[in-house]
Amino acid sequence: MIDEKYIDLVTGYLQNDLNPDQQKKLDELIESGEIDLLELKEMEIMIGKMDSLDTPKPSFAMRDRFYTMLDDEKEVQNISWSHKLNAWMDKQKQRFQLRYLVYATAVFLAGLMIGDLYAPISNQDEQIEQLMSEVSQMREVMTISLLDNSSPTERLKAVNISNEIRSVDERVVNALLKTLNNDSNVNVRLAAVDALASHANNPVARSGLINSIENQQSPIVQAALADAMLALKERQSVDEFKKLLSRDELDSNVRNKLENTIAELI
Amino acid sequence: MMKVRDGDLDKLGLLFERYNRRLFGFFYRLTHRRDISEDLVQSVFERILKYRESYNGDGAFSTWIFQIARNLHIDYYRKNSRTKTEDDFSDWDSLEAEDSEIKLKTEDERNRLYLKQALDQLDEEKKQTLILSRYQGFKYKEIAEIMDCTESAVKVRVFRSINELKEIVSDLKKQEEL
Repeated sequence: MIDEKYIDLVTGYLQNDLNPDQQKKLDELIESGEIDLLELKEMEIMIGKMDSLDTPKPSFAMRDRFYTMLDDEKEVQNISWSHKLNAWMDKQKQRFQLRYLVYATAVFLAGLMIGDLYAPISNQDEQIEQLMSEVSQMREVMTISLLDNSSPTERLKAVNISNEIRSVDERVVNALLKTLNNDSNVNVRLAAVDALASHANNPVARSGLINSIENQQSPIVQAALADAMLALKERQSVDEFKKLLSRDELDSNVRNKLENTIAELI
Repeated sequence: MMKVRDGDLDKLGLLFERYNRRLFGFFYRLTHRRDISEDLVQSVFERILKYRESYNGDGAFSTWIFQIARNLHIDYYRKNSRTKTEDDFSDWDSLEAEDSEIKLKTEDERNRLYLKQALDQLDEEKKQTLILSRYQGFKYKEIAEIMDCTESAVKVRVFRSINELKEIVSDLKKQEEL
């Protein structure tokens, strides 16, 4: 048997994959008798004989099975795509659910109003009053609901809706005050100042605005509160502004503004 | 295959047309059973569909598909060697029938039968190596990739299995002469 140290040369020869150097080396080994040419040829013949073994062809049934499976998989893929699409649509729906609710409510109320136009004239004033009250209540619900939304845009929208409420109840005022004192977004807090100022005829809103002065850290909100108090001519706010002035870290522009505001209020 | 991976499943039909006969030949030479070979070819394409997203395009597709084929045959072989079925005995019956028919055949036919029996007596790794090399036309390096071993190990297997074939065929001939 040929020595296994020549495996690389022999297997390369059998696969007809020897480079010129290897072929030369093999020839030398055969010539020197290190590799028995007869054994090498026997190996070559043996592996060549393997070609004489036939292999049958696969049946047509195998092809049919494959294409059936492929069709099934394509169907599953299509269903899968439609699932993905549905999931995406659900997500979008959830995102805009609240907005849809607001729009639907508005359309419903508009429908009621249009319907009332055809009602007997004697009841019209009464019905309009009732309707306005219902709209106001609806706005209150929307304000309270949207103020808890995670989106600053939605919360800002809630504050703006509250401006359109004719007479706010305590729940709305408390929600606005909570927003003024705790909301993370400065624009929302600024809008809350305006909204509460517009409802300053409500004593809770008015006192809440005054009390919140001390809680504010943002210079722009502090300045907005100063403007609001000036517009309301609210003298009770002076003490609160003085507390702010005692803070060393107070913005210098705000400090000037507060000093002017106090001077005007007194 | 990259298109199949990205969702163009019609392209799998092209791959089937290109590889089904080679895969069938690979399995048939290992099992000598047409039905099992066809099942295993189907399983190869089922696995390709199932794991298509894991295909990253590294290396030749032919070695990847034969890696799958080889693993499937290993699973089949393990399962089959654990549970002896009637089929196993029927295989032995057919071998005995071949033995009894040898004397009636021409020399060429006898030599083919001896070689077939000799191949079946090799261990699975050597048999697979020879089949991949001789019938599937893979280079030793590619076979190493398919069989997850070194190229040197493949060469050793080829070298030894040819010598074993020679010895087994020689023994079979001697037995016939007795």
